[in-house]
Amino acid sequence: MKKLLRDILILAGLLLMGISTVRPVMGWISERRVENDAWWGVHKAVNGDLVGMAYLDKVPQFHSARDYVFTRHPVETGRNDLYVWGDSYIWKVPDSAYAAVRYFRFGWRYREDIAYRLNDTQNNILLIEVSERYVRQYLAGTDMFRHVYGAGGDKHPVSRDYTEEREGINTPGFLNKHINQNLEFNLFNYNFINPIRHWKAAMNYHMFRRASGDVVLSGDGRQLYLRETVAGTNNANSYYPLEDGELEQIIHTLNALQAHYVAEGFDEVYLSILPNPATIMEPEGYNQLIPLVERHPGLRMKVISVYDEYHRQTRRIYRPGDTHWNNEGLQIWLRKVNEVLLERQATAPNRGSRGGA
Amino acid sequence: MLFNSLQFLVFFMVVTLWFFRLRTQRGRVWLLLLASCYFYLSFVPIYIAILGVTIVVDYFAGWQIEKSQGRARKAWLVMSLVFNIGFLAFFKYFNFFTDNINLLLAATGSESQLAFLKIALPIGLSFHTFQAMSYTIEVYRGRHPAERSFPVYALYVMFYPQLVAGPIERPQNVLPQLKEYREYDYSNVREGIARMLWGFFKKVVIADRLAIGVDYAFGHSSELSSAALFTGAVLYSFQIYCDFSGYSDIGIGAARVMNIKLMENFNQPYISKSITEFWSRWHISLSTWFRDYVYIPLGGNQVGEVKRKRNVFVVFLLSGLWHGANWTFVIWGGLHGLLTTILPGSKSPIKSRIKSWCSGIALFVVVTFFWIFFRAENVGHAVAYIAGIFRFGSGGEHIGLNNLELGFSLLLIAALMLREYFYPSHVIRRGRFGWYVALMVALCYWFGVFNENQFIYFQF
Repeated sequence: MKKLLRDILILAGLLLMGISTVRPVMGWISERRVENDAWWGVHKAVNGDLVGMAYLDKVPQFHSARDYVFTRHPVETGRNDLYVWGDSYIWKVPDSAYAAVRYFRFGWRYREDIAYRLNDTQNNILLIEVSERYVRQYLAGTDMFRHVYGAGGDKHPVSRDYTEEREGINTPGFLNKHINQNLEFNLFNYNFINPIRHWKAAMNYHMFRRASGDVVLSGDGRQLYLRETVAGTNNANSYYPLEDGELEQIIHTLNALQAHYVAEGFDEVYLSILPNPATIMEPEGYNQLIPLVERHPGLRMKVISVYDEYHRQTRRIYRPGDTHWNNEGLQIWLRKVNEVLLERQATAPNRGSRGGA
Repeated sequence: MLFNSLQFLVFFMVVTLWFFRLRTQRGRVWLLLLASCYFYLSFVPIYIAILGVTIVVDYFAGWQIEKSQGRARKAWLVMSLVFNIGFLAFFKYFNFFTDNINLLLAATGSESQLAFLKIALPIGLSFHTFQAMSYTIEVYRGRHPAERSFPVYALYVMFYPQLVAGPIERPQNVLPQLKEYREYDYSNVREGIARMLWGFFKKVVIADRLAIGVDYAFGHSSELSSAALFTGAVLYSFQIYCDFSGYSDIGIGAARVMNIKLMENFNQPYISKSITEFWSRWHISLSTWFRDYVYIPLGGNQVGEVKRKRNVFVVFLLSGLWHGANWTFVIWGGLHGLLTTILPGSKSPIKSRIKSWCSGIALFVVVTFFWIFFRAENVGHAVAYIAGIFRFGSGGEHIGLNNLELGFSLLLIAALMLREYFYPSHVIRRGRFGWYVALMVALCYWFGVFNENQFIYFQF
């Protein structure tokens, strides 16, 4: 009996390690378990993604619902074709929320290209939206630059997976650095177990006034931050000094992107950097990344900036238990973007005679 | 693969159960060798090539040393040592020396600068290099025969419980154990698992909790009050002890489960009454390595007092440099060397209990100040931190832990000291073992700080 149990445990261990290292299998499991109410499911971000990460579900002051409201704009009259490279801030923003847009494409900035086929009768606008914590990671390097220019002359130039390039996910599966997260997900992250973790997180919060894992409390205790955006020697940190050379590399990359996409046929390329919550809420000691990039005299890409307006706000811009903005923050950004789109609409030349692609 | 990770727990379970499933020692050696390769590959895969090359070179060097006589024998040893130290120097110290040469060049007005190498230090390089060198030296001295079996020798260097952070073993202790088939022994399993759990407790409950305060104190040293900075330094003394000795406990315990007894690495260093005693209790495998392979060949105690003190000082400087390619480590080693050579040795024992306590506390405070160099990012940071401790006046009192957690941390430190003083053994009676495991798992889970913090000594 003991020998049988031993062999079962060996097999189970090997199976577990195998499952936790094969990405398609983990993807299949995640699809079925995440946001599932069953005992074997897992609620990850019901009350906010940081609340989920820190298991602070029993601390209601950080809970906040996704309260986003979108205004519908008519599609038929738009003379702008809008292509957006974006991230989790805006991926659920519907195309109708953008003004004066006839055709809309969204692409995950780091995970998939935007397959574009430009229509010469329209204003072809590319909007690059990037969260501040990714600016230095992706724009201060030379990889993006290389991929942009490594593309052929067709209309699908950028197809590399930047995340894979950067995080080395292409290494053999059995050495996958995410194996611990996957093992944790497979072994201990179940709805029927999670109450224990919620109690532990609540105890840590109430007794020691801190969150756990990759989440930290703000100075006034009212906001959660992603640890990497406020601490450590990493380039997502709002307070980690920015070297001159790094700033110049970011500007160089942005200019290269702008030149490339204008040459491809886009009429304009816009950059919009969304500040880390800590950048706005605790500005003392901020490394000034956003103003330095946006106001750099050598930057040729046009900017849609929310930085100053966010600073002027007296109301909350971000959800307290989430890395993302609340409806207030979203509306400010949408208003800024739509002002630009309406302006383009008003000033766009009539291109009807050029014919479409 | 960190010891304090789920990956390690599953890995350990599978490897250990499989180990006892095999009926031959040959099979067990291959299993442990493959498991150790996987363990090392999970850090940075490419660096296993470096480890492989050193293993092959030292394996053949050991053979040749044993076969040769006279000068040839010495030549093979020198070749092996040069090769090992060369690897260490290249990967660990090349950029350090380049940086200093560039500073010298700049100081002399030269515009030319040497280029840095874009290399990362292979995990545990200093540890397995020293372990490999102890093998060839012992073979050269005739104290241990050259190992015939390549897998056994490779496992001697790569044995996963002590591969990346020691204890730095000697061939006499480990090689015979790797060759001997031993039946499953439940008392060893109990002792090993109990020791591993104690190591986990020290790491995740104490060290990683103290790390919150330490990181804050060292990250905000210019803003904090004298008391806060001193508290941060004291917490670091215990953080590094719990971190490193916790790692050793897990490694020694994991080996023990498989009936392999590794050497001890720590013996309650903070109850020492003198600096010499401290070094006989702290990182024992490294201290004895330097004693056996550097201090004694330099003359040991058989030379005059001045020369002996010089040798002691040299050993401490080397020990500092061994820890890292930074002047902070050299200064840290130098300070310990200075203290060891200045203070009276064991010839003047302190007999009064009060005096003994006072000297113990004074020593702890001095060692704590030395640790500041070990923890600081550079010499300037360390000096500023120490100056801050003596700059009495205003400054922040908060060091990242609220009062309750700070009190809890002090309670944990007291519990640690008492437990290790009064109950240093990890032998748990059969009937109580299950309860002990349940209690320790619950404590580790409930009070553990799980930030996936690396062990401090991994960087060496």
